[in-house]
Amino acid sequence: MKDFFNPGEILLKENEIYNFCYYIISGKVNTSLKNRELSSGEFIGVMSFITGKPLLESYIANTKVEVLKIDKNSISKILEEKEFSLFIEHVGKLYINLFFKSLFGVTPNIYELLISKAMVTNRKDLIEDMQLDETDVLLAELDQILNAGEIFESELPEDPEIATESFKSLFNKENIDLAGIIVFTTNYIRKNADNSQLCEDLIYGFEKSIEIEDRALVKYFLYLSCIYCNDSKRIKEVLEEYLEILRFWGIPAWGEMMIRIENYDSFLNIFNKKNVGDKNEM
Amino acid sequence: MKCELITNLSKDIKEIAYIQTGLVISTLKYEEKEKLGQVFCEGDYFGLDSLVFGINLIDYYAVGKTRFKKESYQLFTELLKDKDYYDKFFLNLKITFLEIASFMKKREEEILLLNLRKIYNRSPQIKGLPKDFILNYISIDKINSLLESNVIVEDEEFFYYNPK
Repeated sequence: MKDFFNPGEILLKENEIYNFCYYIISGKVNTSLKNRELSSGEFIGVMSFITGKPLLESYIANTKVEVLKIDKNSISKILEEKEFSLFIEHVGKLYINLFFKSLFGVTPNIYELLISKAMVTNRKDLIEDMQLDETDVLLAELDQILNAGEIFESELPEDPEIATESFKSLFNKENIDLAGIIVFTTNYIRKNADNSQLCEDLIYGFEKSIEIEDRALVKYFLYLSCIYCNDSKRIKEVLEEYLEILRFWGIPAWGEMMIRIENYDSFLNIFNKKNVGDKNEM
Repeated sequence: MKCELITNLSKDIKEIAYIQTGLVISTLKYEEKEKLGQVFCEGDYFGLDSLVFGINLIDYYAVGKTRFKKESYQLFTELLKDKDYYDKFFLNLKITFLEIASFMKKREEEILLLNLRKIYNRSPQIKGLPKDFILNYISIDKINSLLESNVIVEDEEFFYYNPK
């Protein structure tokens, strides 16, 4: 069953006990305690649903939110669906996290644990699957972002230096126009894909997005920098510098994946094979 | 009594296990340390990690002649359609979560004590944990403190919970 919430509405309240949890279909949800932002594909209230214990924090709609309500009755209806496998995977992750937290007081990186265990037990099949799964998820997310820029077209200065200045000036306005930045950037990449300055400009965009604290824009420029900067060492340096901020904002997957240079290379191979983001077509 | 590492869970397909008779002990490795986790008794499910990821992040050891049955992911989802199975599984899941959460900030010997108490209450055949195995994870000094305070007792082969 789907539920809908308007910005500011509380989906689940701290200290309450719920016999259901939610799967976010679309929209953004903020948590009250740690102020994390959750978005589509994430679950909320699962621990309370399983254990019957009160929630530790409230969940508040940050935008219009559409959720799938998961309770005893609905589980039996979604057993064959993707949502159930995502739900049980989430439960598995919660369990592993709780196990580590209880015995060692740490929250592990489950992806790294899986890779390391698969290597120890010589499960090459799993290693390949995991890398491909992760890459597919990232590609899907990337497709969405790149398509957003495809809708618009805009005029750009012919002179590359002036174009760079125009690009940078977009971040220094009093009222930043996010859609304008995305449109300009998409066109800028299209015309300057072979320009070595592009990499530094995208990194500039990434750093400025962090400065103005716009999570979506951070993600956008993180993706673009990783793809359009051929110098993987440079990207690694930037990611290492900002990894803690990315973790804090809950954008660890790309940053951590890219920071492992072997994954960066394997990602690029797959990316190129699928012809996503062909420089001339973008 | 031997404790044998279970290696045949999720070897080819994703599986979860259900204990028919006996006892399973879990251990967890992190960096260079390895610690005793929770124990699973008759009627308990173990291997949620195996069901979800197709590989065990937690190590599971079968104590003596423990028997368990494996259910594939596909069979598991089929079985969940049955109300009794669903209730049994989610009740067990709740207990499993609450148990492991109760270990938080506990010392190793306190976790051992909680496990021995569970075995005393829940395990009809095997009533304790093999000493040889336990001493791989917990130092003899810590065990001695439990023995001295009389909360656990021992024989040649096992440590037991002492209800008195």
